[in-house]
Amino acid sequence: MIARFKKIGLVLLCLLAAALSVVFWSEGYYLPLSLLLIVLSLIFLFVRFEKKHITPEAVVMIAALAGIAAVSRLPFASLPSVQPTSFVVIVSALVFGPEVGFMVGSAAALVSNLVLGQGPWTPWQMLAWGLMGLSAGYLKSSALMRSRAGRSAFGFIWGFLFGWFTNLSFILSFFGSFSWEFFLTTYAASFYFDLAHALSNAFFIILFSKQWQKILSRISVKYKIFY
Amino acid sequence: MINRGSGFSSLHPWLCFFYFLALLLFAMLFKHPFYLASLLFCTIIFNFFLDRGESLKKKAKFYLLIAAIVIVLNPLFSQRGATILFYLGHRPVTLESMIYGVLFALILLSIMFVFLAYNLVISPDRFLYLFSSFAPRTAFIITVTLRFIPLLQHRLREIISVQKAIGGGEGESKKQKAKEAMEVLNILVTWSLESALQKAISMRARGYGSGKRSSAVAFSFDKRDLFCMSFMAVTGGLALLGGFFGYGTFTVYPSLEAKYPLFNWHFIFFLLFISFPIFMESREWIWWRFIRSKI
Repeated sequence: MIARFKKIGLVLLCLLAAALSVVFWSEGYYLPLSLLLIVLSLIFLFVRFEKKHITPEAVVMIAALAGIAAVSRLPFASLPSVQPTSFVVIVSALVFGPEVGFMVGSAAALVSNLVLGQGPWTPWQMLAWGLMGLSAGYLKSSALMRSRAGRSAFGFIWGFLFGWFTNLSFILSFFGSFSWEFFLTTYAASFYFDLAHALSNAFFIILFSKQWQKILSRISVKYKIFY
Repeated sequence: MINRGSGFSSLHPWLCFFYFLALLLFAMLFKHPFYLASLLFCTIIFNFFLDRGESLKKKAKFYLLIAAIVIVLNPLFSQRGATILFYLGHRPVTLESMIYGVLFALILLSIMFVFLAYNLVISPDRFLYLFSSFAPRTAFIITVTLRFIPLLQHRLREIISVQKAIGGGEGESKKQKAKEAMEVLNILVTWSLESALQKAISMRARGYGSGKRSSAVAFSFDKRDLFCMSFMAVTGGLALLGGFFGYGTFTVYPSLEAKYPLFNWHFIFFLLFISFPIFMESREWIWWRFIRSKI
């Protein structure tokens, strides 16, 4: 019965969201429109996570990993793109799979912004880091992720993808003055930061991914986190 | 008896939550200098009522920097608008694009200040109460992560001081420094995961996940909540409805133009809605003065 109510609620939510998006679109409110769509996609990924059977050990471990990912970002706040958060997200996804990777990434983004300052960029970062974890988790047993070079290439590419994705939140906020010139200038201006993010990801993965995978899989076996 | 706080924070958590959601929506919906300025003003006052502006003062520098960047950048990037003020090189700088930059800075500042107030009102236990009925695990993870932040920061400092005592932290090159930082992180992760999983085992022993989640704090929806809800629903609803009919909008491009005169019914309802927490807080403040003077 409750499950049925939840389903009806979700359908109603979608209809409401669809109606709102039409209004936002026709009136040119692009920032609320984009935030609405992002929050909806986050909700569906969270629902997916809720449905999976997960032990209390896994729940607390996800929180601890997200906490570590978030805290590791704070000392680097003055260097906008150099931080080990992406590394922690990718490595936890490689060991524990896509759902855990997504949760670690999105929770880390949400919680670290409580310290650094919430803004319209928070949902974008939540989705970007969540998707980074999700994709790393889906690829975890592929040949690409087994080799160290492949893993670091993955981190390098995501360094750029993350920047390109979160740039959109900046551009959409300015939509009233949108021009392709503005678009290109933004992406050119962010190139240095994206490169720094990509290089630091690759650097952390090359040096530490094996060690961290070992630490995490050992914990996973010791406390029977997934069975 | 549960301490529900005072003033606005003592309302039912769902009321507070929807109020903040509406504020965020209004901040993005009403691109009108007077609407945004009054929203910003109200959220600042609200913040001062909540914690004497402590958290606001801490972040004000960062927020004002962002606002300043936006105000400066917009007229440089955007050449839309009819009134050209001057030329920078051969690029026209228009009055409209300057106003748009200011408007957007106001939007950003309001959103960030609303979030500050949100963090003060919706404490972690209230957050857990709100979301544990339909997303128990997600809400729980976010709450536990919130608690881990100060704990992990404390541990991080402890590890670093020990490392320093045994002669670490003297790397010269950037690469060496990054390596040392990661060493610290390695210690942090093994330590924290072990202790976190100890906690998980104790949770399992006490039956976590064995039934429907119950909340330690029970909030009841009383008469006062109902009264406040009707007030917020009427004022907020009318403000939102008016928004869809074009009230509270201000056309910037190609030239400045407000659709309606400023002092209309819509602006009054909007003001009533956004200043509602200030009513509540100041009522308590005056009440407190009143009883104290009697004694």
